[in-house]
Amino acid sequence: MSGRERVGRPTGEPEPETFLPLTPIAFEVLLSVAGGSGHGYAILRDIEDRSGGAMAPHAGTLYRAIFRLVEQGLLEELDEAPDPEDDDARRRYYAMTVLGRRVAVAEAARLAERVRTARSRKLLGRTGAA
Amino acid sequence: MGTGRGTLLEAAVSVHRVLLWCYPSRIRVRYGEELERIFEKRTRQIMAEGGVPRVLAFCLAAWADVVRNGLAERIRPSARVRVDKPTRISVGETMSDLLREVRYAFRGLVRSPAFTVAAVLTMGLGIGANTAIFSVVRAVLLQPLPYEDPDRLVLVWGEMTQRNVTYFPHSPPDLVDIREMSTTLEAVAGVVTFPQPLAGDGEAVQVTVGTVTPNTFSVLGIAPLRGRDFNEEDGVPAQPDTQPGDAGFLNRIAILDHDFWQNRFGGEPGVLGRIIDLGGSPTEVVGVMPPGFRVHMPALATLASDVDVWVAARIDYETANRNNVFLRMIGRTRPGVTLPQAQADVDRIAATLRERFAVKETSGYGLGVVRMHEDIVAGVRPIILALLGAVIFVLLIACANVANLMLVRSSSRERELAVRAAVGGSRWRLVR
Repeated sequence: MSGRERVGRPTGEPEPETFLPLTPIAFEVLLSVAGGSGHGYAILRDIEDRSGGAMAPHAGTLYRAIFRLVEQGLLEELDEAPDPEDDDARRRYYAMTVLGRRVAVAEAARLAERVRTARSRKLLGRTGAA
Repeated sequence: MGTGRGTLLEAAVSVHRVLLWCYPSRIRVRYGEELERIFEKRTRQIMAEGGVPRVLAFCLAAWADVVRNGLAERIRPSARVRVDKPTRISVGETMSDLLREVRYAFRGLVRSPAFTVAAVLTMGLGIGANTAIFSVVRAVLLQPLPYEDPDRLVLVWGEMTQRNVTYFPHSPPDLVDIREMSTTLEAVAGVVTFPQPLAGDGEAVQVTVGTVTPNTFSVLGIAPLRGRDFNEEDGVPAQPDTQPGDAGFLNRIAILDHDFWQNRFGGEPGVLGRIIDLGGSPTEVVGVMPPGFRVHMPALATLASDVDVWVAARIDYETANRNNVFLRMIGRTRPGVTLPQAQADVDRIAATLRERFAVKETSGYGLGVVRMHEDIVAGVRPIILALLGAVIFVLLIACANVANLMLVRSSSRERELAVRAAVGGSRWRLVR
């Protein structure tokens, strides 16, 4: 995945908190494109790899999350392939918008807060599972 | 990859392609190709790694995923609608929207008068024909008979199967036998009509007389408007060979039809108790029937429909001739009795009468029971239903014609619709 980031809606942008909580698959998609834009199949493989195969969404679920994120302005389709050598005319590439990044940060903070709470209740050790 | 696996892959992709139609078109057009490509790629991978069962399990799960997500998107209101419109629309806003639509439609109709006239005439013809025929259907087929508890009223017909005679009337002794032997009929009444001269009180006229058993009006559940109903004494047979003024002579007892009372006697209340000369017999008027009262009978019964004077039949049932048949029979079934039960009952009575009387045995005497309403409308029901079917098709044709007119008109409104869409009109608003 290449490191290009797109500008989202500059004015009248809604507060990131209004999008929370994100669905797990939506957050995973944002995590996948946080490192750079990618096409649908790459996002799918990335989610699988990061979860060690525990999370293997089907394409229908993945694309429903993608077009919702696009509708909400958190993700955008690129007009051209970020890497000319990887360019397959049939592929669509997706990148995170500024709003998408702010929402992903807010969601990560929300989850971090949940993790802190779990630790304080002795449900989670310093290094991982309780 | 072997040919078998290639065929399996093609079949799986084809099914997937069909299932993509679960998605709304805006999503299918945009992402359908990618969804299909990823599905094909994953299926190939799994085929290479594992056997057919794994492939099938993956395909089933992927197909279910497409259907679930596609249908979920179909029922989800689009984000654009959520942004453009408030989530709750008040009744006032809906009404003002509606009024605006009506005003707009009205302006459109005024702008194209030729279209308006054609559409109104076409729909008017279709709706008018349907309304006219349906009012006949309602009055004739759907409205119950104007009697008390009309579902329990039946007509009892005689028949002689050996002589190909049906819809036969009854003799007075048969009527009494049916009344006494029946277990399903609560009461039976006999009716016959014939013309007779009415003399006195001005010019002599011919009137239609309905001679009935005294219980006829109580069987129908209709009481006279004025005076009293017939009672059993009104049907007591006159002494033979007696003249008016003789001891034992009995006047005939009459109840007037409402219209006849109005026309002949000017609606005079003093008519009650008066003796009139009907067919040369002194007849005492004891009542007036309510307006519109008629004894409805099928045309096959050959009874006059507009009776002027109802007279209680003074019949000596002991001596009456069993072969002299003239009474049409109305029966009221006991509560809860079904038509087959009533038919079985009169079949039993007919069998008994055939055993008793040789002439009935040789003629193949039988009895039939029919619901009064069904029997009365039986002759016209097919014609009315055929007419109803015809006018429904006329209405459908009218609707198709108007739809065509509107299609032609809408194609000439492309520019207007494009402008409305461009300035933010929603699809629903444009459709309206």
